[in-house]
Amino acid sequence: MPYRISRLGLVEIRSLDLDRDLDYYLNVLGLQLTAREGKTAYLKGWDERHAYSFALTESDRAGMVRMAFRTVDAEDLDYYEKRLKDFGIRYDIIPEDYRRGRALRFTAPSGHTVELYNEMDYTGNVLPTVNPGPWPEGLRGIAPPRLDHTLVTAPEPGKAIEFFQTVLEFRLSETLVAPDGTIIAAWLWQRPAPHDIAIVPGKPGGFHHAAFVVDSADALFRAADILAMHKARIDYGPGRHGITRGTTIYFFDPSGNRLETFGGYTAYQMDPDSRAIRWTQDQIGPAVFYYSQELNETFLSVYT
Amino acid sequence: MQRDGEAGLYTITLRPVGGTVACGPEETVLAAILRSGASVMFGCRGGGCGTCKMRVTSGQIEHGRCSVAVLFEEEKKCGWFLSCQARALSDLTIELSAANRYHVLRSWRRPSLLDS
Repeated sequence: MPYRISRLGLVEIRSLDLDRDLDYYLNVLGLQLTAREGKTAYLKGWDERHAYSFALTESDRAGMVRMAFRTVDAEDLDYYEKRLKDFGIRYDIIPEDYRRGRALRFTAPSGHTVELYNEMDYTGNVLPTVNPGPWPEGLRGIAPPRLDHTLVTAPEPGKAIEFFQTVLEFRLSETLVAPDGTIIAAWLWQRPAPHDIAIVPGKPGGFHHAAFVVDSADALFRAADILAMHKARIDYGPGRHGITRGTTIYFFDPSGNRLETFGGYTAYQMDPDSRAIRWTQDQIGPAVFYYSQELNETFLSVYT
Repeated sequence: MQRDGEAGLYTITLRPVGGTVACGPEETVLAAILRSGASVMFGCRGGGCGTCKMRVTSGQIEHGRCSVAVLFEEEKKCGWFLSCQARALSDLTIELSAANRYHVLRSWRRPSLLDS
C-alpha cells in the first residue's frame, strides 16, 4: 500500500489575544510569519517549503480550529474523495483557502475538523535553492525547522483511531492497550516517522498539543533555555518519551495551548513493513515520560 | 480594604484550609498562592484550560482574559474565576474545590532553612 499523505500540513489553533500570542510565536517559539490576514496569522518553520503550516486565529477561547493533511499527489485527493464517499462520510469541498487549492473538509469521529488538500503555494524555505548553506543565520527564539505532529483527544478514541486507519489509511506505530485488549490511545503515521497524529481519551475536539521539530540534543536544551528565559510555561521536560523514543519539552503558549518540541532525531524511521508497538496500560508512566516513569498531574487532564 | 502597613497588598483567605496569602495588585491569584510556598492544581496558566478554577465568596476580582469554553458567564456570576488570570481588587475569601488539591510545601518552609 503506497502512502498518500505526505505530512501534517496545517494546524490552526485559537488565540485569546493575537497581538500578544503572535509576539510569542515569532520571538520565543521562533516561527516565520507568512502573513497576517485579519484575525488570522499564517506561520511556518524556517525549513518548510510551502506557504504556511500553522495558523493562529483570534477567538474567545483556546483550542484547535482544524488540522489539515497534505496529499502526496493531486490524484490522491481524488482517491480520498472517492473513499469518503464509499464510507458514507459527509464532507464539504473547500474550493480555495489562503494560498491553498481545493480541500476536502469533514469531521472525524473525535469531533475534529480535518481537511485534506494537495495544492499550496510553494514558496521554498528561507535558504536559497542554489548552493545553500545548512541553516539560516539570524533566526529568533527556538526556531524549529518544521511542524511535526499533533495529538488530539476523543471521547471514544477507538472509533477515531479506526477512522484514521480505515478511511484515511494511516497505520499504527504504537498503541496503549487496556488489560482486555482495548486500544486506549494510538500513534498513527503515513510519512516514515513515528507519527503524524496521535489520539488519546478526552473531550470531543480537544487539542492536546502540536509538536515542532528540534533536531539535536543541543537544540533541545537551547529550547528549554529560551522558554525559561522568557518565563514561558513549561509543563514537562526536557525529557524523553517511551512511545516514539522522541525527546520532548511540553510547554504552553500564552493562551494555554500546549506545544511540544519533539526530538525525532532520537526516534526511529518507519518502514512499510513496520508493525505496531504495544504498551500496556500499567506502563503508561514510562510510555509517556520515560525518565520520571510516571505521568505528571497535567498530562491527562490539561488541554484546550 | 488594604492591610495596614503593607500598601498595595491584599489578603487572600483560602477555604477550607484557612491559610492566608498576601497578593499584590500586579500578580495573579495563582501566582500569589504559589509564591507563598503553597501548591494548588493548575494547568496551562493561559486562561485556556480551566484547571485552576476557584470561587470567590467575598471580595472583588478582575477576571482577566479567559476562554469562554472553560469559564461560563453563569459561573462568573456565582463567583467562579480562573486563578491564573484573575487579579485581586480587594481582600478575598476563596473557596478551593476538591480538584485544587491544596498543600503547603512544608519541608522547604522551615524558618531554619529560610534564615540560614
